[in-house]
Amino acid sequence: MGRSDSAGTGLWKLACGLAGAALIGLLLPAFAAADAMPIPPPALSGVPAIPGPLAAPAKPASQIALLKATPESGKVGTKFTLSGEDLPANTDVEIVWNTAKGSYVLNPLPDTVEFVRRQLDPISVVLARARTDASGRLKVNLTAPEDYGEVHEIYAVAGGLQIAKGGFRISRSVTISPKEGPVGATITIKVTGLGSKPFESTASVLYDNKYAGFISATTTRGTAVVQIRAAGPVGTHHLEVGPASAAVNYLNIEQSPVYLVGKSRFTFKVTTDGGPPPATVDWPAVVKPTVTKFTTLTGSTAAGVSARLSSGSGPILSKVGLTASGLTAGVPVDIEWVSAVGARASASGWTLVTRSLGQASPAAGGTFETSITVPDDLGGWHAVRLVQDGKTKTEVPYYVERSLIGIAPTKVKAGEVFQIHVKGIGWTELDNGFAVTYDNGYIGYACGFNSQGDVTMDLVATGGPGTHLIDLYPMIYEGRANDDRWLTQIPMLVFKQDAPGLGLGYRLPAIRLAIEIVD
Amino acid sequence: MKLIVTLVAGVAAAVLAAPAFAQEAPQPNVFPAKKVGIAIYADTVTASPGESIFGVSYPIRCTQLNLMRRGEGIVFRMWAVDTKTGKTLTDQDLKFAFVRIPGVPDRAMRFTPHGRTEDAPWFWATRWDVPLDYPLGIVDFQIIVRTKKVDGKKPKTGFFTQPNIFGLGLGKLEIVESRPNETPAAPGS
Repeated sequence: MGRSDSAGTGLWKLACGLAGAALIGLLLPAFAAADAMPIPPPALSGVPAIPGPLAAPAKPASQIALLKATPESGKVGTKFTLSGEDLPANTDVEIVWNTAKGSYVLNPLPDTVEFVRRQLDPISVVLARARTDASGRLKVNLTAPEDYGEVHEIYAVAGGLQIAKGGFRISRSVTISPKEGPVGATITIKVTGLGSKPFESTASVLYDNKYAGFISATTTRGTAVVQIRAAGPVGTHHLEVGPASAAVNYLNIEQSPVYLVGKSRFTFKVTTDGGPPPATVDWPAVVKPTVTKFTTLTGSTAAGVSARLSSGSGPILSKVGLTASGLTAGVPVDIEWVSAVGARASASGWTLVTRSLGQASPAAGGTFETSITVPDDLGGWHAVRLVQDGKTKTEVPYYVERSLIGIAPTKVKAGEVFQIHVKGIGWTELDNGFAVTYDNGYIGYACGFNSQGDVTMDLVATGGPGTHLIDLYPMIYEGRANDDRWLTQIPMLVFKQDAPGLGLGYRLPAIRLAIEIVD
Repeated sequence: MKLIVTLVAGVAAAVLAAPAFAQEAPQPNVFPAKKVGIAIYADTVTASPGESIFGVSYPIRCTQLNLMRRGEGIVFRMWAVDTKTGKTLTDQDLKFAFVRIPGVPDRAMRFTPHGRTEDAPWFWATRWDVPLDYPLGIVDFQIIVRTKKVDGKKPKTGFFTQPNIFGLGLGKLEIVESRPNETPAAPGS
């Protein structure tokens, strides 16, 4: 038996009897299937905070006046004046700004993490406090906060009643920097004012009319900063950051009801081609998970037993120190590694399994100190489990990072094949693969589940003589929302800030490679 | 974007007259509720081209839409049913029906046929031309109806408010800016 993705029930089944020298046991998870939940995003530098304290609930007054915003739209940081008249005289009011709070809804299960949907909940915050004058006039100078884009309702609230209503539209702003550089130069794209609603919330990047990936700001309050690389040949290239309803470019959004979202077009001048830049792994910052529900962990810990790893993450084959205490002295401890085997591409699905990492013998005090070698296995969260007398005593989570084995050959003729080799690809819907661009044009995705974290991928070199770039971006494998047209298996350019798995500790990099085509 | 349609109804004892800032607006008995005296369906559709006094038009009339531009004419449509008798409430039954829009005088709805054929449907409707300076954003309008007093029975009051069924106000009536380069006519021209 095993998990069958095609069943699509969200339930998972227990494994029974997997043969093989390395597979020595079964995982019997101690907790039931979890429920999907909004995962709080981790604290990241550069991500704007909610623009004010949450406002108390207010009800509409039986008569609501109108407030005029001047100007009534502008980029983040625009100064505007909110004014109204015929209001109650000499009255303190709160200026309440309607906005949203975003998160990703995930279902963290022992044997996978399901991507369910984006979730944006309405919230209202107090942007300012003011007082009407003796004539009932109100005038407040405000600054458009760094917040989700498009229209925000603004209410003047007094005594729990909405007594006046206005609105302000934060327009989308896109900048790129620099505007020129050699092949492989990093181009930083900054977007502010991405909206919270469908059709307003996502942007896509076109490079010379090739789809490079999408930009979202679900958990980053409308602001996103991403990097792509300047692809050749030498000369002028056209870059467009356009509106995307479903993460791909909505080319004629001007003819839709959300025609104001707009698009931004730039040129980038590739100045020189100095040959392939070195391969790099472009990591997100290290953040503390906001939810500690890790795959493969059962939560089983015997009273008084504890264990610790010298490092909580690393690539395959890492040497990691392991110390434990509270065990029975003199009784051997089996050190087990919990992982998954299987695939989504076959109906039989997958199961969780354990494999031996060795044994230890606790000293008189019930402690031991040893080291383990992280297996050449799937990436993502694994449990290191200590079993004594056939019983699980404790578990410690370990995160297997992605690692680049190599790209070869890097000097080829057009039409020849080169190979990319990556390890540590995971198995959940957040990390079982990556999306690939060639010279900033999306070409497909790769999956490392069935091959235990290994992706060995042949590609054909195309294009003229010179440097060509290959970028492997994190992606979401699949989703379950019927009401959110958001595509999967495409490059998530905003992986450093808005990747759904960040809150669960999935630190997924972009891997940036290059080849040279020679005559 | 799909327009919200729903049903909100109720029997209310709230005072509808004498609006004041210090006074809370009548709160509807939102469906589902234990007691629903009048069930109301309402939606918004585009007015006919050229109808708005501001000269801004959606190209096709009577299109269900919730994103409306400043200057466009919005037609509020409404059907009301007495849930006890099952009777559709016409102008023979209702003392009044009006739309309450923030910052705008209440707009009376009329029960008339819509269309030129003999079987044209009858419903309650009123048009509102969105002023060119009306605030951007969601318009939390209400529709309020009251039955006539018949045979000494207490009149029933029914409310319609837009539910937030899609979250973030999706589907609610929302006023957006006019298209770039659109030059609305001056009112009355």
